[in-house]
Amino acid sequence: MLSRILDSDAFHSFSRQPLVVVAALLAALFVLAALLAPWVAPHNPFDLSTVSLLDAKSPPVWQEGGSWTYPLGTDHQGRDILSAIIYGTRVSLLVALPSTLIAMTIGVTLGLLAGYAGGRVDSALMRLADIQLSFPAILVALLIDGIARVLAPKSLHDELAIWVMILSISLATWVHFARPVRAQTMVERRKDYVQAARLLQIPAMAIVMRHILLNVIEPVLVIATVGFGLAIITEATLSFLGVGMPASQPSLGTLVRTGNDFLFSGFWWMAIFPGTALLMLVMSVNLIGDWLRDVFNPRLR
Amino acid sequence: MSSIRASADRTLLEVDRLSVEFVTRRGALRAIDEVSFDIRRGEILGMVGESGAGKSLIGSSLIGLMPPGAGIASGTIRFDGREIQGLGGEAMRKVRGRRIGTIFQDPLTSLNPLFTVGRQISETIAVQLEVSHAEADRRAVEWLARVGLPDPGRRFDSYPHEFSGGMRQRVVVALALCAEPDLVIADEPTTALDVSVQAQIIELLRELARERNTALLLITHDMGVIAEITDRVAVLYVGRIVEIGRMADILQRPSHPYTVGLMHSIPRLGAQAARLRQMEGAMPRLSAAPWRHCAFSPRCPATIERCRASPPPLVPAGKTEAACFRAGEVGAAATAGGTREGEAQPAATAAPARSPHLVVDDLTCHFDVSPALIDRMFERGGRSVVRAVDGVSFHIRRGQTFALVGESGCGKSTIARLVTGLLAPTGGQAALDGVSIAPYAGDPTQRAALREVQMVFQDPYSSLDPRWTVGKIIAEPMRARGMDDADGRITKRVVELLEQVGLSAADGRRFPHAFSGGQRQRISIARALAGTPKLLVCDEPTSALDVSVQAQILNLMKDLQRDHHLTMLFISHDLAVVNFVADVVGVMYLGRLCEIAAPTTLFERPLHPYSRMLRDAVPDLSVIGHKRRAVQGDVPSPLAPPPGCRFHTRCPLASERCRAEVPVMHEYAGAWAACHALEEGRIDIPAQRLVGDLPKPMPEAGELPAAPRPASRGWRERVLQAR
Amino acid sequence: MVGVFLRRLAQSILVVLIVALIAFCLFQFVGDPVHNMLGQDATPQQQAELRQRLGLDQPTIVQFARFIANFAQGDLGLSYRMGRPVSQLIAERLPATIELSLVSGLFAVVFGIWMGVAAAVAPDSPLSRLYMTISLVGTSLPPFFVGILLIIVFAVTLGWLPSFGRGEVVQIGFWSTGLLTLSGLKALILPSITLGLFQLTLIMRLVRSQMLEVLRSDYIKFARARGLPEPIVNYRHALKNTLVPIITITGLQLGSIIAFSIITETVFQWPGMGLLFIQAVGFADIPIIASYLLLVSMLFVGINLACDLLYHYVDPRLLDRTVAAASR
Repeated sequence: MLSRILDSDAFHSFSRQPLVVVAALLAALFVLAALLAPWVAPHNPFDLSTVSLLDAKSPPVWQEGGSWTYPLGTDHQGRDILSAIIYGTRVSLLVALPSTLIAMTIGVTLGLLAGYAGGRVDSALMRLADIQLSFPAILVALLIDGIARVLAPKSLHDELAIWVMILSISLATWVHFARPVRAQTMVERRKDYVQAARLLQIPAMAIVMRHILLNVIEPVLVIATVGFGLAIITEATLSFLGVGMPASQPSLGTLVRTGNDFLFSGFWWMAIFPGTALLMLVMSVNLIGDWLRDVFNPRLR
Repeated sequence: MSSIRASADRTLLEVDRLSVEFVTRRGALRAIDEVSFDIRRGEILGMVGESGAGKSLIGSSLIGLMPPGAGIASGTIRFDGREIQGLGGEAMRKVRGRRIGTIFQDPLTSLNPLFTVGRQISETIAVQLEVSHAEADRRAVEWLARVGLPDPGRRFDSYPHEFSGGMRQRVVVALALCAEPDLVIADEPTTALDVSVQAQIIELLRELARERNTALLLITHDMGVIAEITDRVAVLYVGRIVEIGRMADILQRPSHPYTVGLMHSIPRLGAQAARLRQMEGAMPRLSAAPWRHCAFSPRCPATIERCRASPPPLVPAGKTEAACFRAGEVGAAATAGGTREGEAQPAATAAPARSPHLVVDDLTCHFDVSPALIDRMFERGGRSVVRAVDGVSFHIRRGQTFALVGESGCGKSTIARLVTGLLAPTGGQAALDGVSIAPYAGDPTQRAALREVQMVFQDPYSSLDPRWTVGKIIAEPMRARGMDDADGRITKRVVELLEQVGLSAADGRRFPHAFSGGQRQRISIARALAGTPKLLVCDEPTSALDVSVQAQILNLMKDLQRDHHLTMLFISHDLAVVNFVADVVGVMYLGRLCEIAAPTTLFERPLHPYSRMLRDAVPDLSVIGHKRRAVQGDVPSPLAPPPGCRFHTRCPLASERCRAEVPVMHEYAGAWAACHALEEGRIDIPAQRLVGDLPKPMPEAGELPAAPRPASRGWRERVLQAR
Repeated sequence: MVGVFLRRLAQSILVVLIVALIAFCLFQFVGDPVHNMLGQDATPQQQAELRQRLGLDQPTIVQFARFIANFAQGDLGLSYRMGRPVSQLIAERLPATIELSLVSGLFAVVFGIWMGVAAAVAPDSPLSRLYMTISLVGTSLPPFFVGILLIIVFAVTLGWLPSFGRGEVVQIGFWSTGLLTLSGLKALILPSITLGLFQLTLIMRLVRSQMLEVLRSDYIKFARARGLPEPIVNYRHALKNTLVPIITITGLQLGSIIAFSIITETVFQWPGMGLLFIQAVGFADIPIIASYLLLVSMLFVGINLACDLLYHYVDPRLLDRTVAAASR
C-alpha cells in the first residue's frame, strides 16, 4: 500500500515540487500551533494577570529595546505579538474551516440536485446562484453580519460573532461549489455508465450518491482548498473592517486592525507580523490548491 | 527493391530511420521506431495502422508539430533535397502550409469559430504567397468554388458553424491546399464524416492532388479509403513499419502476418460469413525503446524462436517489403480470396419463432429545441422541433438480430434509447412480449418487462464507472434486482460472466482504466448479460474499436447470442458489420425507415434509392481502385426535414409525388421498402428472390392495444408531447 | 439579440428588486428609525407624528411601493446619524469611488490580460514564472494588508506618496475629480494598486488557463500547420477565442471592485461611498446601508448586462442559436 502511494503520480509530482512540500509543512505547522496554542504559545495574551502595560509597544527582538521575552514585540497593551498570532490563527481557522465545510455541503448538494434533476429545479437553483453571484461575497457577508448585529442584543455580540461569521461566509460562497458541481454532474449524467444504471431501474438518488458523487469529487477538493484560503481572507477582511471577530477574541484580521491604528506611530510590527502570518497561511493553502489542481487535471498546467 | 522504392530523382520526401520518443518520468517511450519511407512527387502514400500505432505522430513529426513531450530522437527527414528535421521555429514555419499542407480529422474543430471561412483562407494566402489582401480575397473565393462550395462569393462571409460537417471539411481542404504545397498530409480526413460524404471528400482530394501534381500522405485506419486512392501503402504496428508496398499487393497479397490478419478482420459486404477470422489480443502499448523482439510476435500464429530474440528488419518478401522472418512462407499461404472460415449458409441459423418478441409501432420522438419564448417573439425563428424519430414501425422475432443502419442523425440511436426506456417517446409505442415498454407508466408489469432489456453502449470509455471495480460493475444488475450475495452467488456469477466474455476472475478486482477499449467492451457485454436479458440492444458497440478488436467483439456477440438465445437490436452505421451480424436490416433516413430486408437481399440488390446509395458508398476492398459512386449533397437538417419522401432532395428519381406524399412500406420480391418510384414501377424489381420470404417485418395496424399513458412525464428529458 | 437583451434585462431588474426588498426589510425589521431619529427622550406623541410623517403607519406593500418610487426619484431618505439626505451624501462620495474603481479596474484588466497572455504563450519563460509568482502572492494577500504594506513602504518609509485622502480635487459641476491635479493623481496610485491587485491576479489566472486551453485546440494546431506566423496565431486567432469567456468574468470582477473599494477606502481613508457605508454599518445607519446596497447592485447588474451584450457581439455562434442547436 505504502509503496503504491510512493509510486503514484500524485506523490511523484508532490515530491518533485519543493515549494509544495514547504507549503504543506507550513500549513501543518500553522494547524498544529493553532491546535496546541495553550501549550506552544510563550504567553497567554488573554490572561490579564500576566499582561503588563509596562511591556507595551516593545519592538521585536532584533530591534533596539527588543527582548527574547517577546520575540516579535508587544502591542499597545503589552500583549506578546507571537502568542497573539498563535491564538489568532486558532480563531481564523476556527471560522474558516466550518465555513468552508458548510459551503461545500450546501454547494455540492444543490449542485448535484440541479445538475441531475435539470429542468425547472435547475433553472430555479441557477437563477438563485446568479443573483447571489451578482453580489460580491464580501457584500453578502457584510449584509448578513450587519443584520445579525442589529437583531442580536448587544451583550451577545461578541459571543455570537464567530457563528455570524461562519454563517455569512458559508452563505456567501456556496455558489463556488454549486456551479462546477452542477456542470460536472450534467457531463456525468449523460455518460453511458449512468444510462446503464438507469436501465437497471436504480433510483435517481442512489445513482447520484453511488456513481456521480464520486466522479465529481476531485474538482470539489480543489475548490475547497482554494475556498478555504478565501474564507481565511474573507474572515480577516471582515474583522479588519470591524464587523468580524471582536477584540476580546481576536483573529489575525482583528490583530491587523488593531495594529493599523499604530502604523504611523512607528509601531509597525503590530500590524505587519499578524498580516505576514496571514499571508503565509493563505499562500501555503493556495499552493496546495494549485498542486491539487495540477494533479487532478494535468491538462490545465 | 527498386520497384518499390521511389526513384531518387522524383523523390519529394525521404524519411530515414526516424525515431520519435515521448519523455516521461519513467524514462523515454519510443513511439516511432526507425521508420523509413519516401514519397514521390504526385504520389499518394497511404499509412494504415490501428489506434496507437503512431501513424498520426509520423505526420505531425514531419512538420514539427508533435504533441508536448514528444521529440525526434534520431533519423532524418529530407524534403525536396533539404533536411528539415529539427528545423527551428521560423524556418519550419516556412515549410508548413507553403511546402507541406495538413488536413486534420475533425472538421468541426479544425476551423476557428470566430472568423469567417473566407477570412481564414484569405489570411493564409496573404501570408504564404505574399500577395495583396484584395488578391488574397479573390483567390479565396476561387478556392471556395474549387472545393465545391455553392455560391462561394456569399459563403466567403459565413462562419464555420453555418456549414455542415462535409462542407467544413471542404473548407479545411481549401485551407490546406490554398498555399499550393507540394505535399499534403491528410490525417484521417474522412473519419468524422458520414459514409456518403466521405466519398465526396476523397474524390475532391484525388482531383486536386492530380491537378497540381501534389503528393499526398494519407493517414487512416480505414482500408476502404486506402483501396480507393493510394498508390502505395505502409502498414504500421506499434511505431514500426511492418510492411510497405504497392497498394494492390498489400491488399491482395500481403506478406506480413499482421497485414494478413488485419485484412481478414475486416467484415465485408458480399457473402455472409459465420465468423470473422480474428487475431487474438490487442496491439501492445508503447514500451521502453527499442523493441528487443518482434512486437507482433505475441499475437502472431507463426511465431518462431527467432521472433522473440530480435526485431525483424524490413526486407523484400513476395511483392512487398515486410518486417518478418517468415514473410515469404506466411504470405504464400494467405491470399485475400480465401480469408473466410466456412462460408455459412444464411439460412443455417435456427429458424426464428413466428411470434414477434419486440414490436415497435409508429414510434415517434420529437425534441423541442425552440429558443425561449422571448427570443421567438423578437426573432424570425419559430418553434423548432427535431424530428429524431418520426413514425417508425418494425418488429423483431425471438432469437433474431435486427439491425438499424443509417448515417448520423437518422434517429437510429434514439430508437435504442426509446426501446430501453431511457427516453420517452412522443408518440407510438414499443412492446416486449405484448407488454408495453414505451411509453413507460411505471407499473409493475412494465418494470418487470423492461428488466429483460439490457444495452451495450458505444463508447467503451464512458460506459463503465471509472470509480468502481469491474467485479462491482458486473454485479450491479444482480444487486439492483435485489439478489443478495449471502451464499456467494453473485461473486460466482461474476466470475462466470468474466470468463464467458474472455476475461479472467482476477480482472474483476481491477478498475476500468486498466483495460483497453476492446476489453472494456467485453466488460460492458458481461454487465448486460448479468441482467439476464431477453432483448439486448447494442448501440454501435464496435464503432470505437480497431478492426482487429472489432472482429473479436463481433464474434463474441454472435456466440453469446446463440448460447443465450438472445434477441438483439443492433444499431450501426457500418454496412459491413451489419451484414455480418444481422438477420434482418432496417435502413433509416432522417427519422424514418425506408427499407427492411435480409442483409443478403439488401446489399446484393438494394431496392430503395437510399439503400442503393449507402451500398455504393461502401468502398470495395476486393476491387482495386474501385471508385465509389459519390452521392451529391448532405443530409438535410432534422430540424427541417423535407416534406413527402425525406430522401427526395438527394434522390435521382424524385418526382412531384415524392415531394408531396409520404411513401408507405410495400413488399417487393422478399424485401420491404417505402418508395413511390418502386411502387410506380420506375425502378426495376427483380422477379427472383435471393432468400426466402421475409415475413411482414412490422406490426399490422391495430395489432397492439392502445398504449398506456404515463402517469407523469419524466422530467429527465425535455420531450415535446406533440402531435 | 433583442430576446437575449430583454431576458437579461428582466433578470437584472429581478436582481435589483430583490436587493430593494432586502434593503426595505432592513428598514422594516431592523432597528426602529423613529427611535433612531428622535433619540431616547422623545414623547410617544412625537414618535407617532414622525411615524405618520415617514409613512410608517401604512401597510407594508404600500410602503415598499413608495420605497421604490422614492428611490427612483432619487429620494433615499435621511441619514439617521447625520440627519442629511442620503442622496446628497452619496452624490458627494460617488465620484471618489467611481474614479478609484475605474482606475483600478483599468489597471487590473490591462495588466491582467497582458500578463495572462504572456504567461500562456511562453509557459516556461522566466517572465511567465515571475507572473505566476505575482499571481500566487496576489491571491494570497488579503486586500487590506496590501494597502498597509504599500503605506509602510511608499508613505511611511519613503515618503513618496500620500497615505490617505484624495489630494486636491477639482469641481466640475456636481462631479469632483482628482484626476486633474498632481496631488490627486499621486493620491490615486496606492489605493488603485491595492484595489486592483486581487482582481488583476484573478483575471490573469483566468486568461492564462483559457488561453492554454485555446492554444491546445485543433483550430490553433491547424493554424500553425498552415504556417501562420506565431504572432498571428497567438494574438489574432487564440486571443479572440480567449476573450469570449473572459468578458463575462471580467464583468463580475469589475463589479466586485466596487464592493472591495469598501476595504481600500477604509485603509486609505478615501472619502468614497465605501467608507460612508462601513461607517454607517458601525452605527446601524440603515438608510445609508440600504441605499448603498441598492446602488451598488444596480451598478453591478448594469456592468454584467453590458458584458453579456458584448459577449454576444464577439461570438457569432451565439447570435443564431437555432443553427447552433441544429449542428450539435
